[in-house]
Amino acid sequence: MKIYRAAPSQGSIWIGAMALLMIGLAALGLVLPAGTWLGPAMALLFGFFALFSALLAAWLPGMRYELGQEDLTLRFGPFRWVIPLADIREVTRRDLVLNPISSVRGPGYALFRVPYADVGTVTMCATRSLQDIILITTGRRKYGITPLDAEGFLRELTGRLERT
Amino acid sequence: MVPAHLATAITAVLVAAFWFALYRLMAGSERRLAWTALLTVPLSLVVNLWVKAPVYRAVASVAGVAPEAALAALPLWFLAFRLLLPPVTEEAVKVLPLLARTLRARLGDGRAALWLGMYLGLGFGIGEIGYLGWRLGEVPALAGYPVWMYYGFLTERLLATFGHGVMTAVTLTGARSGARGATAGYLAAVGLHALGNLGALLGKMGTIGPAATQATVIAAFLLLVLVFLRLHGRSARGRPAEQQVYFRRPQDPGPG
Repeated sequence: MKIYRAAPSQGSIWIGAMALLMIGLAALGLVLPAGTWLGPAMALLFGFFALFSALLAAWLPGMRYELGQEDLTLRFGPFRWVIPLADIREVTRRDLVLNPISSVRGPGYALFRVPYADVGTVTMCATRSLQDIILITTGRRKYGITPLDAEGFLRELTGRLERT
Repeated sequence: MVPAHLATAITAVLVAAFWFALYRLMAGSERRLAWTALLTVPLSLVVNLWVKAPVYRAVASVAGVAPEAALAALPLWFLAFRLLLPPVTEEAVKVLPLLARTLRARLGDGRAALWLGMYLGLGFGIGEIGYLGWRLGEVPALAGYPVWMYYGFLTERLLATFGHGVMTAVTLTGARSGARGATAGYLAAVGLHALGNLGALLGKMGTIGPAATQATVIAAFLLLVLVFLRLHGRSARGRPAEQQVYFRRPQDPGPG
């Protein structure tokens, strides 16, 4: 099995800043006058988002792609997507067009199911959201990744695909 | 400096920065059309001072209607005229730069037509901020207002500037299919514009309250967002992608 790390990005800084903002909003909820539901609700809601954002920021630098003989596994923190090589129909490298509908996507990161204006919804496990994305199309889904050694990854992947 | 003018300058800078940044992300290679926004910046002043105002006064004079009368006292047909005058004139003036052949040639590509419309409308919207801010500075009742009280102006202009782009994009997208398409696109833009202004007019007349007026503004904005998403998606899917293909599995010919 060959392991390819995702290209480095400043995504963690952006998500970390988001986490700080959420912590601030959660703290604001805690200092609201007691006796109303709004303060605890704000603290809980923004506290949850702060924790979620902090975890994403922590997991982002460890993002990697594991290329085996039978499948390709995309790993991000505890999440993993296994793509059997036999299911892959197409591998392309391209820029994607932003769809402004909200999703887990920003400068330096694109995660989970992200809608794009040109290719529809893509399962992203990437450290870029728009430019120079390797798009892997299977019968059911599209996946977007950004390995650091893109050329080496593509050479190895296409070599294995041609043998399947 | 009059607070209204300072608020106008702040609003124009923030609105321009926000939409130019967002358009830059969404437009891809069509971001090169951003300069066209400069062409429409002066057109709001032109259409307001030298088209809308004289036409409004002329029609009021011929019909014997006092133009400054309370809205609720105006005849229904004149209210309809008042509602339609800005959309009919503004949607026409925003596409004037298309008189240049080099810009008309861009309409051959759906994505270019969309972003040309978005940028022309953005420029017009920024110019409109200047025109409205100048008029606000002349209202004696607002003279003592501090700058921060113009926050509502900022949010309203943020939405309206985007709306101008979408409506111009509707006209230009229609214009791709010839004169009939251009007329249909223009009429659709006029309809959207009039719909967007209807709530404000009803609010000024006192027919609906301030909360309902706000709700119509938000509803109109959401409608324009939906129209934009549809145009954006269609134009993005309609263009062949610039991509490198590394692997493509041959299609299974199937049995037989």
